[in-house]
Amino acid sequence: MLVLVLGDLHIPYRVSGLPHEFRKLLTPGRIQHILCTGNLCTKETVDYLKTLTADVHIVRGDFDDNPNFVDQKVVTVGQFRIGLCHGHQIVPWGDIESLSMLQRQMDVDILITGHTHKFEAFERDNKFFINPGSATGAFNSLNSSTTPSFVLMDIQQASLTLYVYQLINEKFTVERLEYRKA
Amino acid sequence: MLFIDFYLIITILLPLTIHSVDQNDDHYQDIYFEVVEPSDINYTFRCRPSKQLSTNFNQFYENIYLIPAKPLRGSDINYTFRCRPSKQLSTNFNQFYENIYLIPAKPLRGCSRLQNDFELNRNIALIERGDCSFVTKIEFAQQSGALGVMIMDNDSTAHAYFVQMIDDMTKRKVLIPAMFLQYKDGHLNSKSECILSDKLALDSFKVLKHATLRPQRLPPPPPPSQSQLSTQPIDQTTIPSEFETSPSSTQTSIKSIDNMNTMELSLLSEFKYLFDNFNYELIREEILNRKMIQCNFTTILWRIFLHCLPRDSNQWNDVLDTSRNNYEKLVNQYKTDPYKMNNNNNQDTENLNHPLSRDENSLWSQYFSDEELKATITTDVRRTCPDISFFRNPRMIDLQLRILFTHSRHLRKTTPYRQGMHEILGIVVYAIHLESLKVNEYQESNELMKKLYDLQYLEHDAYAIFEKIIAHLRQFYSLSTNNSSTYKVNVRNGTKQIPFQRLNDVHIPPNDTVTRMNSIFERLRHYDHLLHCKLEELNIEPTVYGIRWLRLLFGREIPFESIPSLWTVIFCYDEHFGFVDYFFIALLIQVGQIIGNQEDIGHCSYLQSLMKQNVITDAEPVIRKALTLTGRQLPPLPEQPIILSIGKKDENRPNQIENDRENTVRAKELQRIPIVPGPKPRLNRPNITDIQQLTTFSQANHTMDSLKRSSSSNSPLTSSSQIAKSIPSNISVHSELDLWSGKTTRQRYDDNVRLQNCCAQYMNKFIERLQKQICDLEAPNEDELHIQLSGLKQIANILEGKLTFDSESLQALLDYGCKEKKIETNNSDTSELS
Repeated sequence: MLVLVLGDLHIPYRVSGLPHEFRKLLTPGRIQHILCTGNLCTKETVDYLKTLTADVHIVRGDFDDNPNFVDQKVVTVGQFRIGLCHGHQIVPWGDIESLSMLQRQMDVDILITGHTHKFEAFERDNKFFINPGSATGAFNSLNSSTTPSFVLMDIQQASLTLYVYQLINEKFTVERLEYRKA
Repeated sequence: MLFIDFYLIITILLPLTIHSVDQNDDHYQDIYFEVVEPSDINYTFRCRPSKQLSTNFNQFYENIYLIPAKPLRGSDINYTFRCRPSKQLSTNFNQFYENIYLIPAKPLRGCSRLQNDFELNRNIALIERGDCSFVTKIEFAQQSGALGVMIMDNDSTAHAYFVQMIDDMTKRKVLIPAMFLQYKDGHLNSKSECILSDKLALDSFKVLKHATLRPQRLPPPPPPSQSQLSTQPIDQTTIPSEFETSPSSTQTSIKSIDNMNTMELSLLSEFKYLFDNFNYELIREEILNRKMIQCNFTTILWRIFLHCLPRDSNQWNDVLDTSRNNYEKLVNQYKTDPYKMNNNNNQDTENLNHPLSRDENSLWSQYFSDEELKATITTDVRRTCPDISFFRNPRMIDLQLRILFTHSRHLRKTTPYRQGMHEILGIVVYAIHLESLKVNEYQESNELMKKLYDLQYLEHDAYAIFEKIIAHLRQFYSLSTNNSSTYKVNVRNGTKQIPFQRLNDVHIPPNDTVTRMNSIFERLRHYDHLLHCKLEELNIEPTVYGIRWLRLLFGREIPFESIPSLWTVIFCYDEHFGFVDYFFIALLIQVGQIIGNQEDIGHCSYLQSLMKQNVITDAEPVIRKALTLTGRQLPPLPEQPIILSIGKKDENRPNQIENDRENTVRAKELQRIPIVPGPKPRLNRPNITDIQQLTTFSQANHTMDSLKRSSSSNSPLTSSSQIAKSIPSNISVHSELDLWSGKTTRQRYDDNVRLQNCCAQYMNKFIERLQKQICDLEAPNEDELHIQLSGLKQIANILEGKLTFDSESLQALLDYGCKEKKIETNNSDTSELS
């Protein structure tokens, strides 16, 4: 089962659209779920995501136009409980300890957050933390340039394979990580 | 070029001087033909036309192709052959033929109805001398549509002698030219192995392995791979030297079959009887003679006929094992699991198979396309035979899905999955399942039976059968060269617009299926002229209904229970499902009869009946009819024949030669009449150009109606109606179809025609008498009376066919004369003519 994780697109305020290479990759029919960390920001982007698949979960980011998104979400895929949160609520941004605290609070196996516009994926205390970064490479308050990246999770029962797509120097690269639930 | 390997190009050269008619000089009329290609046997042959038999060979032929029975690679018979046209026997070679083929006839001696008329149609037949008269051979060739005949000698010692072919005093006329070839020339062409390219004909040809010529067409020995497995040479045990019943062994076994059929066979004994020493010939004959209609082991028969199993049952164990293992391997091969692959992959970012990969070679794209294919297949499989609960079982659905998926992946280049294949598989699986139920319940089944019907291997066995069937049906499943819709658009916008062109006409781009169906439809012309014309007139393309018939092997046209018996006949008839053509025609005729019996005969009802499923309630008569179309003579049904045709056939048997002659002559007559697609059936004034050219039901009905009305209103003709009743008993009602079907409308049509002729004759007689009496009377208004009489004469001539119907002239005759009479006669006439 394929799950797409992306976020922090900031379309159209900071960037005009997804990179061309990414658009080519993302075609309907292959992906089952989309988990979006937020900051899309407009309805058009939401609609675009809905064309890729019907099951789209979005949480509220600080620049989102739509105030009705929830702040946190928990989704169960296979045997994994996946938590979704934008990350601007966590201070300091992207801090490991704070993230762990949030994870314990939500009681999830995988915690997905964004806001830092920087890709991260690590395991801590047998729990997995994923940050898909910004799919468009939009600027951050702290960084003016970020590499566009998103994450594709392949969930099979109790094992998780992570494919990280990054756009470096006009070409996209793929990395694979694996994680198994204890 | 591969094409050249399979044929010879010959040019026919005439002798340069033909002026003196010297009876003693045998050589003056010899025809020389030069084989141009392949160049190895570039030689000029000589052949002698029969002076007595046929007429002058006046024409110059270029490039007649001889299709020899051999892949002529290298060693070849590019040669100019000489042959002698028969003057006494047949007609002129008045035509200039380019690019026609010379095809050996099957049976080679041409003494019975030719089996390969499909190939012979519009080509030249190569026939061997012997066993029957030349005239008979030419007759049969003519019937199968050949344009000419070359008869080769059977005497190998005659080297320089050309036989003058004479007729056999039976006073039959043949209508096609005939020529005589020497033994060595003729046999060079038809001997030895043969593989003929698919492109030369609509069908693919067989692999013939015989070097000697047999009088009867026999089912070919199994292909080389199977024969390697067999320990004994199969040919010797199964091929009799003559027709079916002559060897005593087969006679005794026939008797035993009869005995067996009457008593109840236990399954085991039946199995043993059938398969312990499988007598291919015998079983095949039984099936084709409809002695064996149902069998408890139909699927095994299928496997034998389709070459999944060898004929020798001792090898079945091994063969079964190999084929089942094969299937397992295939299934595993096509299970794409990208996860397994991933474990072997190193962390090379460039070549990583990631799930979103667009690359066609990537495992993931393969995986996704497999998923799509499986989804398509599942939707179809779920819909097979909705009323049979067997198919709703999820295990069966999975099983069918696996089979179809594996087959489609394995043969993705040649036969990708198409809708329709699931039905065929469904029938196969169901048939195996039913039989295995019976066998597994039966206490005394032996080991081989149990192994054959092992339920665990249902899937594997079904796959084997399915694969073979689809290999033959492949031609029907290939899509037309992409998009007839774009083709249509191009033609509309392009320069090839022809005004008044019918929209359906010729816009289906030619492709194998379409060509095949069109050729079958053309052959319908020979068997049921009326129906053919009717369908042409209504513009109903054969592809409309034909595609479904062929793709599903008639699975939806006949009741479900009779499908296995039909398929058994199809599989055993020959290697290439040739029986399909005949059954197609028979089915079409049957449906035509059903339509004919309905009241409303129009475009709608035709199309409806053709497209409806399960129109035929009983397949057995149609199978029998189709078998008779192939030329077999079936023993009549033991009980009262339901179909008129079978009864008529028995009557006709003693007079068969006569009937044949009449039939073929009549057939030729009808064929020579140009078929003008008549006007739409609902015109008020039928435009009858020539009564004898009646080609549509409507016109026949109209004239019959007008005849009836005119006969009732005119008193002098009442006696003719009495005579009309006696007509059918006097005149034997022969139509070209008499041998095969008792088509009532056809007979009615013929009756009509004869009725008209008789009526016309009587009418003429009465008119003469009236005329005499009017002349004697010397009445004042003699002119008018004469004019009315001339009108009547005109009508009589029209009925006879001497004149064409011209309403204006008749009207002019009516208008002449005093107004009162005009008014009266006008009224009565318009009521007759409309």
